[in-house]
Order: sequence, then structure tokens, then C-alpha cells
Amino acid sequence: MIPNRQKLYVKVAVAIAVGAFLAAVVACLYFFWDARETKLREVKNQLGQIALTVQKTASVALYVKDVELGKEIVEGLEVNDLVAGALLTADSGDWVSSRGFVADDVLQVLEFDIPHPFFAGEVLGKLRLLPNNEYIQSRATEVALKQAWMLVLQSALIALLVSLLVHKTLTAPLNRLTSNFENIKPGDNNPLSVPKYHAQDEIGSLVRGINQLVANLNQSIEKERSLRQRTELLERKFRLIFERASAGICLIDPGNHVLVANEAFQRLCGTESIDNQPALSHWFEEEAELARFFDELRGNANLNHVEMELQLRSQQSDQLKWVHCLFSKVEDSTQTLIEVMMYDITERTYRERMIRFEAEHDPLTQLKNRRSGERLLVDMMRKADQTRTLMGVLLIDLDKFKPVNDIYGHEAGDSVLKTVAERLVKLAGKGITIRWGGDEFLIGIPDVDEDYNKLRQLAQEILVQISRPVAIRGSLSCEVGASVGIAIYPHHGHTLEALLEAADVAMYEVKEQGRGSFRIGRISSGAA
Amino acid sequence: MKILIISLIAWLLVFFPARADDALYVVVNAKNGIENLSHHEVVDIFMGRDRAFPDGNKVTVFDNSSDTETRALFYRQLVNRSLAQVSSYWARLQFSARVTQPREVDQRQALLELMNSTPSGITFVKSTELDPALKVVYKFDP
Repeated sequence: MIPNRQKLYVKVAVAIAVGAFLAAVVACLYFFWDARETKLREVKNQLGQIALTVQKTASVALYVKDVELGKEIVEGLEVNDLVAGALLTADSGDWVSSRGFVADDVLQVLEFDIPHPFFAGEVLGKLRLLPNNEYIQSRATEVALKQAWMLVLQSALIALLVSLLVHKTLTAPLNRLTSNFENIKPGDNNPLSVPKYHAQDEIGSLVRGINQLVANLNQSIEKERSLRQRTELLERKFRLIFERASAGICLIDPGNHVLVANEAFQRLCGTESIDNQPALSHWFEEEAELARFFDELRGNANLNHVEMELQLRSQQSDQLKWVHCLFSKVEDSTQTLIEVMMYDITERTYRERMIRFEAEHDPLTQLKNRRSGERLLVDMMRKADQTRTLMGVLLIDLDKFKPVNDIYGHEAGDSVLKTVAERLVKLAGKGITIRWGGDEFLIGIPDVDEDYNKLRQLAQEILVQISRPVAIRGSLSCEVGASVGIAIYPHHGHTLEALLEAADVAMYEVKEQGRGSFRIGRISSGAA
Repeated sequence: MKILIISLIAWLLVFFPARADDALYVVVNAKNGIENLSHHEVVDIFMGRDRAFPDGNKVTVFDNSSDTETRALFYRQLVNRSLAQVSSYWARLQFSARVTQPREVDQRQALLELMNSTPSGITFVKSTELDPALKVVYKFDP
């Protein structure tokens, strides 16, 4: 509630009272002064009339210098309340005066000419009247005071009436309106009623305006409420998506620290809490690259989404996890955040690698199979082209392998092949070792020297190593040999086919000449 | 208006020539030293203000009331007052010790005798009543 002294009708009443009081004071002062002045003027006028009354007799008295008559006149004048004293003067000077006449008050004395009784225009003397100032003043004050009091009473009455009127027609309806207004609850649809007799005036339109406003307010509150419900529902769904998502989702700040993360993220990273953790880049194996990438993503306006596969260091185990990450830039109002979505692809990655390995390798010797080997050889040739170096291929065909297979069985043959493969891998170093066929191997060697000396040494070493006995079962062992044909790229051919052809030819020449040796292919006339 | 007044005066002159000549005279005892009085002096003497002649000798006023018409004319000419007004004037001074109303004399003969026997006497008469014993000191214009 509003305190009493702030209420409108109290204010209005006080204002009217103060206004009326001030007006009454000013009016009273003015009217008091005016009434006094009027009264004084009136008294002066009356004194003039009194003087006129005695003028004729005074004129006769002065004419015949009848002191008795003169005395009678001035004393008669003094009887009047308004007159304090009177004096008759003749040409020769003061003649007769009443007792009350005191000559020292010259300023207040009123003077009237006494004419000649018979000759108009001739002046015999003067009648001087001393007004009874005390009496006149008191009379004037009395009259003025009476008027002033009347005025005060009138002002008070008018103020009271105006206050009542204002209260009745304006403040009381407003007051009722205010208390009704305070009872309005937002959302409730019970409008205020227009006060009686006020339908056409300002109060009526105020009430209608308030009702309109309340109705509008209710409408917008209703709208707001349904909107909020929809938003809440939506938010719940989104939160569910975020929290229950199988993908780990997090948001990182410009310092790469995790701001917010869902359960899946924490599960993936094996963390209990995202607080007090190092920057996100430190969580990955590719730490330095990732930190650089984050800077680039923030700096590059054209870069918005980037996908990559990374290795995540789990905080619970030493094992790395392969994760597929999707980085998206999120422009906040003040800073650039990055949203990270991560899927655990560890299992898939391992499976893929396994499949790829199986596809590219010989299951028995674990060497590259012929198909993937050809591709690797072609790559090596391209590399040799780029570095202007030589590259050599050694085609190795085992001798006396078929009898081993026939005598000791396939298992013995397999173990021979395995052992040979192991020995060849050791010798090949940074070259690649390929199982080319059933008992055929091929080694690609990069950076071959100009005079092939090292290559020859390698071929010799291969022959030595292969011919060493191979243990097959228990103490049982067997021996195989090898024939090696060598071709050099690009000396023996520009294509892999030509190169292999040259090596094959060289190898057959060795076989024809008695096996257990190596031979470098001849440079054909068509070759460079 | 002027023309009317002038024609009225002319009419009066034609039909009342004797009246027109009937001027009033203020007279004193022939032995009185005063030769002339002004209109003002005559007023002061007759209305009771002065009780002596300008030369200081006592004055005794006789009010000639033998002929009311003459008396009325006299006061009209003297102070432009009616007889009633004059009586009222004296009534005001009735209780005054200093001023007394002039003595009224209603017999012509008696007036003449009084004037003769009183050296300080003064009165007024018509031209027909002038006498060698009386000295004219002021003459009203007819």
C-alpha cells in the first residue's frame, strides 16, 4: 500500500489548502489595506461634510466676530467622534478653538475655507479640523479586520468545497481504481470495471486503457509461457542428445582447455572430471601437430570443419585409442571456441590394418605378396627416377626345393620357405623382400652403386645364406640352393616388365649353367 | 433668452417709469461727518458687523419697515437675500450678546423724527421720502 501522505487526494487537499491559505493571506492583506484606505477616505469625506454643515453658521459667526457662536460651533464639532478638535481662524489669525485642538499636529489637520456670508468669492477665515485619528484608525481597522475575517472564512469554505469536489470526482474514483489495480494478478482475466458516471471522462478511458494493457499483457504472457514450454522441451531433447550421444563431444576455449564435455567424452578419455586438465592437444599422441592445427583453425576464416583420425592417450591405460575427430569452429560473441566430436575407431582401425596386411602379405612367410610387391617396386622405380639413382632387382629361385617337398613333405617345404624368407629379410636391409611365386623370391634394392659391387656382394651373401642347412623336424635338416638373376633399373629396362624379364633371363642362364650362382642381366641392344 | 430679458426690461421701462426712478438711498443725520459709504461698508453696518462709522463714531441702525416692498427691495439690493433669509440670519445671532438686530421702525414720521434726534442714526429711504434733514451717503443703482 501507498503511505497515506503520498496519496493523491491527500496531496490535492493539502495543495488546495496551502493555495487557499496563501490566497487568503494575500487577499486579506490587500483587502485589509484597501478597506482601511477606503474607510480613511470615507472619514475624510465625512469630515468635509461635517465642515460643510457648520460652514454657514461659522461664516455668520466669523462675519460678526461672535465669539460665543464660534465657541458653540467648535465645541459642537468636537462632540463628533471623528473630530478631536476644531479651530476657527480669521484673517487676523486664530480666533476660537476647542479644547481638544492641539496645533502641533499640523500635518493631519484638515482645512476648510469659510466664505463671506454675503459676498461670494470672499473668504473670511478657515475652519481647521483635527481628525480623531485614534478613533478613525480603530474604526478602519475594525472594518478591515471584519472584512479580512470574512475573506478567510470564505477562502476556507471554498477550499473545503473544492477539496470535497476534487475528492468526490477525481481522487476517490482514482483511489478505488488504484486499490482495484493493485489486486490485478498477471494472467488473470478479470478487467477493472469503469466507475459509475465516469464512462465518458478521463478516468473511464484510463480504466479502458488499463484493461486493454492487461489483456495485451496476458496475451504476451501466455505466448511467452507456451514458448518457454517449447523451449524447455527442445532443450531437454538436445541435452539428451548431448548427454546420451555415443560420440564424445566437448568444447574447448582459446587456451585449448575443455570447457564442457559429455559423458561419452569422459568415458572415451577415461577422465573423471574435465576440471584441472591440461590443454586438449596434450591428450593426443600427435600433440605438437594438433596444437598447430588448432591455431590454424582459429586463424583461417575459410576453415570451418576438419576431420582427422588421431591417437588418444587414455588416462587409464597405456594403450592408445584411435579416434575419429571432427573439429568445428564455434564463434562465440567474444571468442572463438572449437567443438570437438570424437568416435572411438580403435577396433575398426586394427581390423582394417589386419585386412590390409592380409591382403598385401603372403600368409606363410609374412613377406609382401607378388601383387603388393609389384606396386612397391614401381614406387621404388619412381623414387629412383626422382633421386637419379640406380635400383636393382634380384630374382631368387630356390634349387633343389622340389625334392625337399617330395621327400619330407609340404610342412618341411613350408618351414624351408619360412627360414629362407627370414634370412632374405635380414640381408635385404632397407630393400623390400617379396615372395614372388612358389619357390621364387624377389628383392628390390634402392641406391645401387654404379659398378654394382655392393649388389654383387649382396647376391653372393644371399647364395651363402640360402645354402646353409635348414632344420625341419627335430635334428633333421636339409639344404637348398638358389639361382639369382639380377637386373638394374634403368640399365636393363624402363618398365617393371622389362626389368623382370631381364632378371628372369639372367636367372635362367644361371640355371642352365649349373645353378648355385648369380648373374647380372645383359643389356639388350634396345635398352639404354 | 437675452433678447427676452432685454424686451422685458424695455417693457418695464415703458409701463412703470415712476418705479424705475424709485431708487433707494442710504441716509444718515445731516450733521454726520460721513459723506460717502461704500457698498461693503453699508453691508457691514446693516448686518451688524460694524457698530461704528469708518470715522470711528458710533452707529445706530434703524430698519425702515414702513413699507415691506421697499424693505424687501433694500435687502435684495444690499445682500441679495429675501426678508425671510434676513430674519433667519438674525435668528442665528439671537443669543449673541455682542450683536443685536437693528431696531425696526414702521412709521415714516417716527423714523424721520428718530433720524433727526439721533446723530449716529442710519437708515434707508425711497427717493420720495428724502428730506433735507437726511444726508445721502449711498445710492443703490435703480
